Amino acid sequence: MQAWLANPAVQAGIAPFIAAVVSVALLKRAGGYWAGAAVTAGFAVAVYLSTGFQFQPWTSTRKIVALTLGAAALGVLFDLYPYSRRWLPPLVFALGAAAVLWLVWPVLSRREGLDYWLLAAGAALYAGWCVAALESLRAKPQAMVSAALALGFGTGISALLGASALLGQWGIALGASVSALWLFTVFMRKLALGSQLALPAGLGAALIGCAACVYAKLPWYSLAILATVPLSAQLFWWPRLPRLAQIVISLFAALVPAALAAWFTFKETGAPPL
Amino acid sequence: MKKMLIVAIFAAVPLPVFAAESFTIDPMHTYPHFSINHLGFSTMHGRFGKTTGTLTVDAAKKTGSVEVVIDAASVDTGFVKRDDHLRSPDFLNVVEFPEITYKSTKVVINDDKSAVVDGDLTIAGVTKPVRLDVKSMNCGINPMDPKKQIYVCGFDAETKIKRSDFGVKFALPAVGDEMRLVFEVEAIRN
Repeated sequence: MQAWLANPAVQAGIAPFIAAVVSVALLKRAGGYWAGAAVTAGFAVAVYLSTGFQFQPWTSTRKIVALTLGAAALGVLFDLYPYSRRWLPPLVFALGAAAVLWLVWPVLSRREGLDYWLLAAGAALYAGWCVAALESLRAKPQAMVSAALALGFGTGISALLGASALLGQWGIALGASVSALWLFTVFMRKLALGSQLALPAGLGAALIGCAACVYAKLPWYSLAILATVPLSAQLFWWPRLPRLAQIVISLFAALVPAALAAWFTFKETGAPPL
Repeated sequence: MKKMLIVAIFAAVPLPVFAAESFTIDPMHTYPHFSINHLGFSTMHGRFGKTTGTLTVDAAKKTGSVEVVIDAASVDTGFVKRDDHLRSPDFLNVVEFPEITYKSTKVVINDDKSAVVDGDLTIAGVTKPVRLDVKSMNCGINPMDPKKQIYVCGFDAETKIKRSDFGVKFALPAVGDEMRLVFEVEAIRN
């Protein structure tokens, strides 16, 4: 059993997926946006199996765990908010930008001039955009879950190729967890998805991508390609299409830039060392 | 006048030197290296290419001190992709923690040229006490120096650590937890 749980494929794929399936099965009965919390359950299982929960000293990977779990908690509050949420995308954009600046601060603090501003602005824009773009898909849950799935897998595989297997595992774990939600979205007519999915999935993937870029060897342009995932997920959004066709088309459209990002990373860095 | 006379006498008379001698580590002859089990199949070796530091030797008191600073990014296993992986947050996390340091807290030099060094090893921001066993400590004039002036001390030291103690837990237990660290150090007297 221990050897099985120590297998990276189990830690990144199978275990988070199973945890997310069980979580959705339980949480969907609660109604509301609760099903989205399954992505946090899957991510937490992956973290527990790969490194465990340890937060001192603060390292980039520990910041990713803390911030993603924090985003999930914030997502619960936002989903419980009973009034209009039009102010949410700009707010989560700012929060995402602040989160990533804390993540890259050890490097940022050593840079000066143009290098400083390029890293600060680039990371802040990317993280803010990923979170806000997913959050703004609240009205299109099929597009949101497809974008989150593609963003997780795209980031994970790119990070894995970019010489950080741990970050790769966590990105793939996000994708695997969202896969469970995606399957439920296919078969359930009314599965509402909100901040409990958008915040941890969007921020988690963005932080993993930025960390792989700054602390490992992920090329920056892979992140630029991944940033188009939320847009491509709704590129072929025809309201008259059957729901099943809509969600499948949305997923394939979202997976195209995710696959491109992984491909360009592979061209730059080659296969990971095993 | 009397004070000046006293000062002149003390300046002129050589006093016996009991102070510890200080040395600067010679980066060209100092390569910390390590070995670790790989997936249960074999033992992988690697080394660090850039090391600086100082040491002091007090032969009379049979003690001294050592401070070593290793450039974590200089890790070299002979395969670039693996080195990149070792530099990543999975292992040494060199962008956030560019230095691996060892600072002695107690040194005991034995009569047979061996020594025991207790100190603090810092890897990836985590500091743990680590004991180094110095097998052979040798000091003398560098025979390659034409002026016969360069005085060198060198030693071979080794220890075993668990990387998980330093928070480096990636790929456990497939990639071994226990690491053998070897410090082969040469230092030139200042």
